Amino acid sequence: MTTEPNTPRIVVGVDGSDQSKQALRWAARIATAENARIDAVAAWDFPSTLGWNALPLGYSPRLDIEKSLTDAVDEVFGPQRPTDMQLITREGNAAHVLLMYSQGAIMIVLGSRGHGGFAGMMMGSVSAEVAEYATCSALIMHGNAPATAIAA
Amino acid sequence: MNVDDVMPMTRRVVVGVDGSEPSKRALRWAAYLAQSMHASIEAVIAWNLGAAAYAPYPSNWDPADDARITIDHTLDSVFGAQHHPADLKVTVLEGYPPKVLLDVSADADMLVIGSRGHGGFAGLLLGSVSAACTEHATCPVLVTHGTTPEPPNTGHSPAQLVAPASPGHQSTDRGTRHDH
Repeated sequence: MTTEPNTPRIVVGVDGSDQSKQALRWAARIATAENARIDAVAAWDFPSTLGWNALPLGYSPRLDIEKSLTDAVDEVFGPQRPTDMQLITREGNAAHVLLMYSQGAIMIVLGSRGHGGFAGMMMGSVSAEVAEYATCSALIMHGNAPATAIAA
Repeated sequence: MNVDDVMPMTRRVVVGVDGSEPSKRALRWAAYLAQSMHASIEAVIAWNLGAAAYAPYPSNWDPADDARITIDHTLDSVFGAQHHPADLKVTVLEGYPPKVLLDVSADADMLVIGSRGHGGFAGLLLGSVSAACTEHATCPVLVTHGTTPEPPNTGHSPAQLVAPASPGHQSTDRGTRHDH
């Protein structure tokens, strides 16, 4: 980490979904109060159900996820991105990546379901795993209400 | 849809209390966030007879009274007897705890619950109450764990965290801040 080790840190899981944008807004508010910095984390994984041959040449999930993360952060904050905010992309299982980055943080914020899941599955496996195994507070976003409504 | 049509004008943080240490930590986080959000706090305890419903119990035993005493003691221990947050609401309800918490938090801005971390069976770390709430709540849910740090800067009044108002939203600072 480049900044002071004692700076409180809030981790946000970002997958580009509306809930993850809500999570960014909540994290920013709490970070403002605490002079905490934010790590916005997106994980990517090669689709395990596809063979390598199914992937078109030049397909890069890492570039996709970097764009998705940057787009989400820009949409939420525009030019007023919180200071010291880090955008982090990492290959791996999303829950494992988020749990790893949440070590030592004061809070992890993420959507309950994001893009994954299906009707009838109330809570995504990522948020369930993070809520269960995080060593810090876990703030889980719910519902489809716009973030302004939730946080206003 | 105009969000002001559907949002309650006052913000409210609901916190589940059962007298345990995790629920005390949850209360401290709830108080911290409520203060930051200019929200009121509703501390909720649920009671039910459970197996006792089928056993003889003393006629002078009132489980609702017991629950009230438990939550009062917990609040005194967290905030100090003289320093409860100004607009703290205490709610004692009969019922299955997850259902009670989900009902009470249905139109809240946040639900805070402490995970016991040792309920259930090996492998199920999240207590059953917090697991049910995390899954079925309609508002954001903050789950605190035994390993969760205490809320930051509880020694002073944070109060800098003012969520930006949505257009037309009336400020409802109703003196929620308190010292503890």
